[in-house]
Amino acid sequence: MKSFTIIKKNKKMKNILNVTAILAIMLVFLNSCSDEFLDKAPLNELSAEGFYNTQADAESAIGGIYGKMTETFSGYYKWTHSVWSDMRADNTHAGFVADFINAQLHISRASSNEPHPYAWNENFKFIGEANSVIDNVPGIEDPDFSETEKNSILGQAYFLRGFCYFHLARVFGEVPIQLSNNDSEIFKAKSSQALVYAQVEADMLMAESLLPKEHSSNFKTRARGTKGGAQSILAKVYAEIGNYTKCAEYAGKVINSGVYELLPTFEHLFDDQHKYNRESIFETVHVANNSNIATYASVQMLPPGDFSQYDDPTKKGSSWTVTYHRFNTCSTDLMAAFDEMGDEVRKYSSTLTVSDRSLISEPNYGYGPDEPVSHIYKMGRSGEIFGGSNVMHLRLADIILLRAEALNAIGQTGEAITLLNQVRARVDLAPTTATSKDEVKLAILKERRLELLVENNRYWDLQRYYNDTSAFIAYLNGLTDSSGKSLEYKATSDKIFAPIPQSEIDINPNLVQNPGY
Amino acid sequence: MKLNHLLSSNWQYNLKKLTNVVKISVLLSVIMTLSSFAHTNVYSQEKISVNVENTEIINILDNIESTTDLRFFYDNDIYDFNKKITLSLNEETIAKAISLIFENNLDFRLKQNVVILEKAELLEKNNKVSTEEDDLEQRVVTGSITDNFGSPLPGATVIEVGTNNGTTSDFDGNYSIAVENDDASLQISFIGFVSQTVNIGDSNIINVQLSPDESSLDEIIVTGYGTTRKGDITSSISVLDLDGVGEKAITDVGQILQGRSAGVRVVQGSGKPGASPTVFIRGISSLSGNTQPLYVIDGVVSYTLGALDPNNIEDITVLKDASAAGIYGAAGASNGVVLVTTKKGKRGNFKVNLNTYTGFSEVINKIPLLNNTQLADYFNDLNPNITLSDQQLSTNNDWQDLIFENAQQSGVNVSVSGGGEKGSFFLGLGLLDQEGIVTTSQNKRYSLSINLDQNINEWLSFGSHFNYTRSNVKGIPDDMGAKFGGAISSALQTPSFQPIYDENGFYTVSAGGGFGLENPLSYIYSDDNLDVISNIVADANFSIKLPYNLTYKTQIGITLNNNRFTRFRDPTVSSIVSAYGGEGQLDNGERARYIFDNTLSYNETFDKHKLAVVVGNSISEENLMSSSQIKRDFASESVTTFNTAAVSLLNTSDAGSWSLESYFARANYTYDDKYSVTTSVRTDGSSRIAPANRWGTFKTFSAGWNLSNESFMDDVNFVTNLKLRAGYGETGNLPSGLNDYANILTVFDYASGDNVVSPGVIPSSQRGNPDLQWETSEQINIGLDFSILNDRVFVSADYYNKKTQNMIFPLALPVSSGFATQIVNLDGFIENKGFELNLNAYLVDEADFSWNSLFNISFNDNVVKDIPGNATIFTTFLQNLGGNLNITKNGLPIGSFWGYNSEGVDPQTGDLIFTDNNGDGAITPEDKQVIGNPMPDFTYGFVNEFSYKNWDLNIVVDGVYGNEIYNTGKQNLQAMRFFENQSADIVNRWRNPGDITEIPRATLVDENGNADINSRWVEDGSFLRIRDISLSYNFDKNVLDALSISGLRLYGNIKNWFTFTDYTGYSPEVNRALAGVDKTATTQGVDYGTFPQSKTFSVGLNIEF
Repeated sequence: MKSFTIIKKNKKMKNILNVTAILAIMLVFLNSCSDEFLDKAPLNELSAEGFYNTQADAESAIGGIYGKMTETFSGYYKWTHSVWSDMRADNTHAGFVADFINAQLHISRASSNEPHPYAWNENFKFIGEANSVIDNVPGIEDPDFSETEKNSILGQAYFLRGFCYFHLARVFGEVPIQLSNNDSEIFKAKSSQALVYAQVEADMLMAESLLPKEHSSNFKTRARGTKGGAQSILAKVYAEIGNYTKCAEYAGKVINSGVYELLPTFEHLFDDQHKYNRESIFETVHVANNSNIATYASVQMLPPGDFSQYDDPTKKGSSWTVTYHRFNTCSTDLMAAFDEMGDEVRKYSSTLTVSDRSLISEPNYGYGPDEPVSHIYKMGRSGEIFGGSNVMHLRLADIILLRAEALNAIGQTGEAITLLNQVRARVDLAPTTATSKDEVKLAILKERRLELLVENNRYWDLQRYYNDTSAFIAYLNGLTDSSGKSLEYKATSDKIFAPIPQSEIDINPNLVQNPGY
Repeated sequence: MKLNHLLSSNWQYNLKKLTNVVKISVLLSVIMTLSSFAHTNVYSQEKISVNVENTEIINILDNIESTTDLRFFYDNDIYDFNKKITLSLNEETIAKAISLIFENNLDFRLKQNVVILEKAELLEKNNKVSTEEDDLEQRVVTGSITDNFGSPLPGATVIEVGTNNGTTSDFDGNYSIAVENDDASLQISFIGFVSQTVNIGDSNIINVQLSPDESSLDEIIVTGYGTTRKGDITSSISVLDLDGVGEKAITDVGQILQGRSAGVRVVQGSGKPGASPTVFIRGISSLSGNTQPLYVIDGVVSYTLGALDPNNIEDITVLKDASAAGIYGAAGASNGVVLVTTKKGKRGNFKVNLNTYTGFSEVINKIPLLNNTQLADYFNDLNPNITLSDQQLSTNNDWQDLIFENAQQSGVNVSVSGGGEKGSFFLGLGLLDQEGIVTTSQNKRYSLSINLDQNINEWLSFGSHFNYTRSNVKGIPDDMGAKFGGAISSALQTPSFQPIYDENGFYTVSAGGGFGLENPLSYIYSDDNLDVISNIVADANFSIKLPYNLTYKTQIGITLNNNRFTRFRDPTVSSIVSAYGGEGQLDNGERARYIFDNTLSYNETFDKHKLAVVVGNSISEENLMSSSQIKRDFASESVTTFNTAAVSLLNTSDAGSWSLESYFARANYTYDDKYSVTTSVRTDGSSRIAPANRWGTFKTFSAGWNLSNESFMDDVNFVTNLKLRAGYGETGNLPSGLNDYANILTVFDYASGDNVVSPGVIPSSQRGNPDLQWETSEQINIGLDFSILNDRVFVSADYYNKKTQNMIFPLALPVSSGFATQIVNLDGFIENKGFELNLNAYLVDEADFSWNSLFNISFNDNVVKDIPGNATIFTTFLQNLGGNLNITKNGLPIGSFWGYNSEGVDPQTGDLIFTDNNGDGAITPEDKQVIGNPMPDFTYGFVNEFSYKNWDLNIVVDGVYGNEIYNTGKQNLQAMRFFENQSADIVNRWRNPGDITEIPRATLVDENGNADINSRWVEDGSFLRIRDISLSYNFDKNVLDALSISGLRLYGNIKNWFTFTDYTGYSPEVNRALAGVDKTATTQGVDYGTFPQSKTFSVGLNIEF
């Protein structure tokens, strides 16, 4: 046989050996690629599997929920709740043409705009986070994790879940109820508002039983779920479902708990110098200059322009000059209400009047062309973009007035007047002149309006007051500007509830849009 | 007696066999080994010492080989090499040694260090022929055969035309033939080269230089993990014609791909300096994964072309269908594979090349806006209380003029290349200095390429490539969406009466704009940013030739990407920034990837059978690390380092790692150059997939039939190179996240005390999915190639159908579930089917005039089918402009536009009338419909290359037809809701009942949703663009000689000068999808306030010496 080689035969032998060697190396190399090479745990995130093991794990899990509720660039529990409570009612307007707010008030096809996704998405996210605690914390077997501590953390999870469902029920009426993250059914249909309120009641009763009246520190007593917090929400639920007897009972539990008392000076409540005060039942805590949990949007309450041009030196912000502002222009009706009551203290603390109209080129909802325009100051006081103002969600004055409302409703008008006057006295107002049940009812409504401005109450206060949809709608549509011209709210009875975000409708085939949208 | 009869039959046989060896070598190493034998020889003086007794000759030779560099080369039959002899030599020459060992029976020739042993009589006779030429009747013609670079071509066939007389060239490319006829013609042919026929005339020395036959079936084409002879290709592979690319002042490799291949759509979405175009091969076939092709640079899978200077590219091959790309398996080959070969030095051809150009760019078009009077009228329409003061009206700023400028651009590239007997080198250095047409934007890119090749010995060769670029990109804020500013949107929306500066010397902030829109100069000048991007692609490889035609290759590659982004927002320039005392940002990111490939390839030809097999494995691992810091409140604007800033806003880092392990094999078998089949299989495992589904296997099969080589086609002359191809293949795509299968927890700050922050832990909004697996695309391809008119016109046509299944998608979960998304494999599939046609016509090929024309057109039909009903996908959330724009659902192309259909303006109300599709009398979301398709019906490219005497003219035209663009710019400029500047078109808006117009009324509240997403903002995106015209002049040889240079070319180049389109935005090439917020493929065709493209004129000079 002929061969034709460039290398001699014995060279070939060597090369055969080479091949063998190389193949062997390849084989070795291939074998060395074990499964380990392909196992890459996340380097930048924690794996959920096997995470919940200690008390510290449980604490960071519940802490994370409070953190997300204060997230700098989120919205609902910072300020957009006031869109639902105050702007949708008669207290404020979007001071410039922010379509995503005004649209809410006027436009039927608003379902892709912003405030209701804030309300829907954030609340359900917090509920999912609370569910994660409820799913996982009971199984933690940590000998150092006392039953009391475990109950406290679980109680807070029930409190936060109920808290979020409460707000969902108010804003949207009917919503799906999801009680575990392990639930395989995720495309859920809506439950009736009554069922949602029942869920809130169940969660809050559970929270009430698990939570202490006070935590180990005053900070935690004000910034975490407590027995008093759960009772406060229960009082509100009972008021909204018309059970004033139970409302009065639970408001009374809060008032008589010994944990809370009215702060003597109203302005201290919001001046950033008196956080975690004795009046506070539940507040969410922001940290200045922390890009994750600083307040951001509070400044959006403010009017445009440099604060230095305003008269009152105490009301100057930092060097705030930007135009991320003026979402909440006060209605002329609100300013008239302050004046009618002669309420100088709360008017001064809660609003800010801008006389330089050149700063405001937009229509001003009720203000004549030359009138000064008022803005909400209460929530935007720090004036910092990344400020540290806390947001007050529950405080004693609210619960006192709620108990007054309940007692009046169940015929104990005298006791109601006493409670009402407690709140009035704090802001240097004379005792109420109202005497009859109806007068007191109206007086409490007016008191709540000025006391609890932009604290997530007004819309439902009005709803309870009228207790009749068409009367409520008629009230809103009857609102006028300072010249008596209609504000043209165009409210209708089928828009009592907010639209479900269209994105959610698109995703979930079992979800039906609220009527009217 | 004829000369070739003098050659022993044995020797003839071996020459034939040698030819085959050469062929195979060509396949393997593109004429590396054998052609490197040199002309000069230092080995002839090698001294040999031997002292043996009764030893076999073979062992004596072995001994000589082991003590010297000499290697012996012989035919076993010419002598008894096992014969035992006794010999004593001391420092003798080779000649002496050979004569003693073989007792004068063998003679030798020395090629480099190789001693070729031959029978003495043969040489004698050979010598006799040449020396006793005159005595014979036959005339003997000698000469050398070289390739286009002057390298000898051994084994070329020389045939006297019309006879059976022939020979082949030797190792030096020399031949000698005794011709039978005096007026003989010789036909010289060699595999892969154009055959030549030469009339010998009176000359006895005929030297022939063959030029490569680029259309030939024997052309060697780079394919995945190897090369293939063009004739054996059975799949859809496109080799780009890069003629004239060097004169185009091209700034990015992606631009080279533009218009040159059917099925390859290049979208230059942004005109920002340093912005790379996006490339789509055969449509978009993934909903969430990568949609860009896989880039393989000199064999290294790189995912990006960022490390390459376009000047250093030699070749680009595009593997379009799955049967070609399948060898790359799951690593993203679903989108096609682009194989890039960088320039290498040529042996014996030392060359310095200098290419330099300079030019300028300007904006293609401005958008007509309202003037002051019209603006005042419009504002008054919105709010009757507003009137503009005379002082305001006296200010008139054309903000577009203020931000656009004529931008300078220049580039210099120097390359030095060459090679010796065993190796070659290429060194390229480049500098690109490109200003953008928006003032201050700039890209300075430095590049370095070093390529080395070295044959260490006959069986071992080494190669290394190193490509490095460092870009310094200064951007301007753009592409931020409609209502959130950015310089481009702001230049359009800022009223012309707004002054540039306010009373404090800051740039003005719009009073009317919703979110504190800064004026465009504020965005530009308050934002001093620099993105320093370094990219490296490098590899080292060893190739070992083994017996039995095996070649083993090992390659280690790295890709390294470093990105350092710094930004300083100057508090003395912007009042907004002033409020927080300046803001600095510092981001650092690194992606480092290594890839280790081992392949064993086998090539054999026996009789009519050709077999090429490659098997191999590959592992790669990528590690990512990034950090980001933002600080505010700087002590002074003059020092921008973070030690001088008081407030930390962001301080974070991120990391990730993933790995891929693969095994693959491919076999290509061809019988008689008629029938070819190719099959490949690849198995991939990746860390990005849950352990249970970690491994995926991807198979391909394809076949080709060269009809032209059938005997029944012998008489058919009008069609040549007729070939049918058909193939099927599977490719894969990975989830884009590194750990999408896992349930993870995210960490978020919470206040654990007053001013005390602790890390909280919450479930991620993305639900884990342990069942997550590969996305798989199955593709069939049927192709036909042929040439007509004597190979003047080459036609290649392909039909394909690609179905992507198991689509990886972030399924939106109802928020009410507590989660927002889950990465799932969707049921159903995306279908991309289409037809591609490539024509390459050498229309004129005369001595001083040639015209080569390339035309390609591709039709692609994209549709989503059979996905679950609740998986309707909405993307591109247009905040404050009406929600989600793109919809992906069954029966529609990916990312169709979704909204209300406008039937025009109601003359009574001035509002748009929307189509009430469900007839319920109200306009609700149920009435939304498809209002546009971002996918073109077809795309085309048309390249014409003219050459007349010293002049070359090259024109590239490309375009798309039938796609739609959603113009958010127009939506802003005709929203008529805000106190902003608006399009000049709105002077025709509805004002009074009875007005007949297409433009609705101005309204602050817009109850009807005139400004929301509707068909009014959808425009025809078809365009035809004369992308590139370059004219160059090559100086004559006498000029070159006078200058002592070998080449001098002067050229002028214009880019994007003419665009034919009805689109009213800046540029019909829009694609925000892959760079901005929405990274998914489902966001197509949305114009989003992006940096406009420019037209460029440049002149350049190319010198070679």
